[in-house]
Amino acid sequence: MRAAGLIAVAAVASLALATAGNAAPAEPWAAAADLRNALSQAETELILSGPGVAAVELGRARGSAEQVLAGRRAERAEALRGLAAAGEAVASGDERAFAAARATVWTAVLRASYAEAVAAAARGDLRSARRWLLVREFRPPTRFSRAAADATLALDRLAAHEIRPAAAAAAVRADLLDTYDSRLRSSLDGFRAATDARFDVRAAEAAYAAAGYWAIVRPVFRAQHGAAATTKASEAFAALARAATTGRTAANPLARVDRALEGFRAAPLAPSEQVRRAGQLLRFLELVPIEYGRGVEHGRVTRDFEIQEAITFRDGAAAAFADIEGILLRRDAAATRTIGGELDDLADALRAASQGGRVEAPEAVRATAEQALDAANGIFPKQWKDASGSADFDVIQATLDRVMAAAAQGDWGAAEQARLEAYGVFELGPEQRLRGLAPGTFQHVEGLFWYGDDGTDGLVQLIKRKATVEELQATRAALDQALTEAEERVGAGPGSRVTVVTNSAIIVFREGLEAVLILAALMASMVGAQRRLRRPLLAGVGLALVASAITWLVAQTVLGSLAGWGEKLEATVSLVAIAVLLLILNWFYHRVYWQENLQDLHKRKKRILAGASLGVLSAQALGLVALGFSSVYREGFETVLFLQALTLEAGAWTVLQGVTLGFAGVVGVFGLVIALERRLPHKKMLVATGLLITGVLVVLVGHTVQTSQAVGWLPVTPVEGLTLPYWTGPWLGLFPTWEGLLSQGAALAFVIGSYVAAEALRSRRRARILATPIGNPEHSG
Amino acid sequence: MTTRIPSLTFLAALVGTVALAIGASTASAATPGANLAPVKAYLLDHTTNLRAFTKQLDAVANRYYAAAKRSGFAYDRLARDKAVRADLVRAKDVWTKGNPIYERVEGIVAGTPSLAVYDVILDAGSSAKEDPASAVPFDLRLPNGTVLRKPGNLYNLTEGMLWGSLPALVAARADLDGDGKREFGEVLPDANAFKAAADAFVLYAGKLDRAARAWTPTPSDAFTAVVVMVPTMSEYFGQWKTSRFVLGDRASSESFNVVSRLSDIGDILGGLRVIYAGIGPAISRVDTAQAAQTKRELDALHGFVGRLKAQERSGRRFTPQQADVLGKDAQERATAIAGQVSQAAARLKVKIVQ
Repeated sequence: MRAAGLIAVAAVASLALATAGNAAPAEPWAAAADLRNALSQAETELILSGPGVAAVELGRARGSAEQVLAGRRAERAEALRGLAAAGEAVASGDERAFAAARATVWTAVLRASYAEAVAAAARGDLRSARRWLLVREFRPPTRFSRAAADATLALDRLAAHEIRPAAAAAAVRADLLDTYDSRLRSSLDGFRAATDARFDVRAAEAAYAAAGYWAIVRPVFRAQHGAAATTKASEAFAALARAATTGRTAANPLARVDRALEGFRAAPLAPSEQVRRAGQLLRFLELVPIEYGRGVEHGRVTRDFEIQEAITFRDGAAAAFADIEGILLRRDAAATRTIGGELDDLADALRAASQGGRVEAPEAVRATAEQALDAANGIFPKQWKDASGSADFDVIQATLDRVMAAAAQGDWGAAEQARLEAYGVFELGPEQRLRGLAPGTFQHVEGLFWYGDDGTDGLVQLIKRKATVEELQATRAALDQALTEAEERVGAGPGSRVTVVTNSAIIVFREGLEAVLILAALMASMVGAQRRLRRPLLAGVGLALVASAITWLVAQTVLGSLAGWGEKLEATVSLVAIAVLLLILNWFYHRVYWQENLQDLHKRKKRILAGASLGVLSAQALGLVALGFSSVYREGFETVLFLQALTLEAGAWTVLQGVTLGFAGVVGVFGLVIALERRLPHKKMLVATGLLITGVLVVLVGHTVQTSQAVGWLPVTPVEGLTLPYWTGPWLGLFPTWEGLLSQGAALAFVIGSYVAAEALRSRRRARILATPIGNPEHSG
Repeated sequence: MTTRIPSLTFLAALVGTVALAIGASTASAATPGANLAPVKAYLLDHTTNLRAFTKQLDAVANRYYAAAKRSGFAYDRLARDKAVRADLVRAKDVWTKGNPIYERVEGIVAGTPSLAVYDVILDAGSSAKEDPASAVPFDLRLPNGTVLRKPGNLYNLTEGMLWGSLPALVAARADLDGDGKREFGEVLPDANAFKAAADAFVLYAGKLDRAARAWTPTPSDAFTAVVVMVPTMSEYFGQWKTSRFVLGDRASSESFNVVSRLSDIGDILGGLRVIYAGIGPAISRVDTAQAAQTKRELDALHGFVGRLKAQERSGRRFTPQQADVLGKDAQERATAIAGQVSQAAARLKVKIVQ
């Protein structure tokens, strides 16, 4: 019995030992979480209860630190030193010293986990990399930069064999360095704030945390700036920490730290990201005075919304500048500091205006922004200078956020205004390239901005009917996705040369079709004695081509300044084209009915010729010049922008091929119309011409209304329940709005009315002639 | 007027994440493991209670208005009216009990894009004067014709009227409890403003309830609530630091002087844990360790705040520096939780609506 008992005890003891021996070590994240929690508890207990319970928690912290840092000698030693200091702080009830020690311990753990995660990724040890990556901190997102998941996703891609270990390690390294660089700066900001508030405990914690994060990014600093600068910076951090725990003034060490870190970036941006940041800086700076100007009138803030937008764009410009400041400092320190100074001045001015203080004149704000822009353009590398377009998608997103915010607040007028602004940025920017590179994506985005596409309502419809937040969210989500695709397509550049050639040919052909139909139809009717009338028409066309060439040259240099004017120019010229076309049609229909009486026609022909012989100053000639000019130039501005954008993407030769093809098509249509009309008997030819011009007029009216709506000159009232295929818009000028359809109806009514009037005139004339006795001069015509 | 945005924002984020994960059965198909149905049930439970609370408060406000009108708005006479004084004491009691109802679902409401406007209206929005960028979208039209343009959120307004932290909306001080002293919170609200605010409270509580019933929670809502609404624990603690619970009579804050912000934060965190129970399984499918880590840290944060709340209720007064230290700690924990959930969202390809 006794032996059995001993055996049982031995068995139990063995089992216990075996279990203890085989106890799985805690996962790094679990041990780190325990450590962090224990330190937190210790600090809380120091505040709430005193040293006794705090010491117990500190004991737990030691155990967890040993677990997580086993195998990391340097960090373990540092952590244990920190814990020892924490123990002394607990014993003496020194909250400030404890906070400092706590920061030291925790940042040692972060340094270890950073090294382990990168090393594990580099050797392809996915499991270890994932385990260690859980022990990390994160960079808080802002409006223009979101919380990154680059490291996490890189490991997923490694697992899927999409990337090699070296690439995964680089991504993990970049993500974590960027995070700790950001944490370092926020710790310094926290130190300043705590010092100002005389919270010495938090100031100490912040200073030691900053030193801890510095230790993580120090090797990168050394690689960029050399050993001497690194030593100086390390001394500054140490001095800062000492000042924080001894209560001495930290102004000097803080200034030294700031100087050391000026322009430093632990995770250098990839070239594409540098271009993007440069683009954001330029684009956002351009927008600050525009938004500010909209919100200020006669020295008062009239629209708070616009001032807030100006602040948002300024902050975005400042954030972008901070990311490339290091590079710019190396290029030109003085100019870089100028940019920084101007950004600070803008911040002061905007803050004062938003808080009811001094309201700067819009001109002053513009001048400040332009000084910063000039300085930036003066020192940017060549490939950054045209980068403002790359920020267009950021601007569109920010403006769409305003749409959603305004709609949520029930301010539908502001929502529509913001929608037009967002669309304006898209149209003058990415659209120009997208039309040539990915017309399907362009159509989808445009549809979502306006009347819907692919079963999803467009923003116009939603705003008009004051849709619910869910409906707006659904369209916004679709639009976000479409814009992401658009950005990828634009960023990827032309997929194939054939695509670019084909797309540009189609666009040139379509843009030129309206003009060529008008010109061909009219010129076909100008035969015999009328041939002279071709001259003013062609003169107008020639002027339009010259104007287009000048626009090309001007646009290359001042494209940004023309933002917002392009559409208005197109709308204005289109209105001129419509007015002239209506006059021409009216004149045209009356001519048709003069044909019945050849003598009348002969008399009138003399008069017309007499009129024409008055030279270019005759009303007819001027009208024909105006028609020739407006019908070609109304599309000239947008086509120039499109071709320029495509040239940058695909090269001049590729674009030239597309333009040539499109132009050939246009010339072919011209010739076909002329040939067909010449085969017709005279009167039928005139009728065909009239019908053709009427058709073009209706399409022109539809496009002009749409353009006017895009620039805010006309309201947008969608026709409920009416959905039209996308192609009816560009090709037929048909858009599902009351303004567009009614205007086209009115134009048609005018033309038909002209025809009816002309017919009535003819009938009355005939009746009068028949009633006149033979021999009366009127009878003989 | 101090805004309440941060507490709701942060807690809404966490609560929203968990709750939405539970509630969205259709969304579960796109994010396997997410179960957002209980989140919606939790929300509806509280919006129902919120409607009941606002109706109670409105009844008192309307009785008070009627009495004020009868007296010709002679507040000195009203101050002597026992029934009126008792009614105002009752109003404050109703308000105190009604405050946590919304806090427990603030995370869901503020964190869900389609519901977030109600958070602005009810609890987070500022006045136009204070901060136009985050002002409430409504004006308050008083029975006497006065219009208060974007006056601030309804919880702040009614707290300020009943406890006197919004002097512009207070008619007079009074000894409501009859102890011979006019202490903090013993005031007669402006009857017109009180009625208008209480009526608006009923209106918007009703709209929130209807919107909540129509809402289909999605994983995007849930993850957005956590990630987009960046941990603002330091702001919540900042509000606590400047409230009477820390500064006592030196406090100048217009809000959070009746119910401690710690209590609000605790309520919000409680709701967030309910929500996380819903999305945790979805996160587990891609990373068991991550899901466990976040749950542990969320529970720890909840426990941390609960401990401080218990201490405060037992009579403990923290110094501003202590409140600062504790707040910073909570902020760091919250940032970590939000960051972890953002990683999970990226891996699950759940869109964060920013």
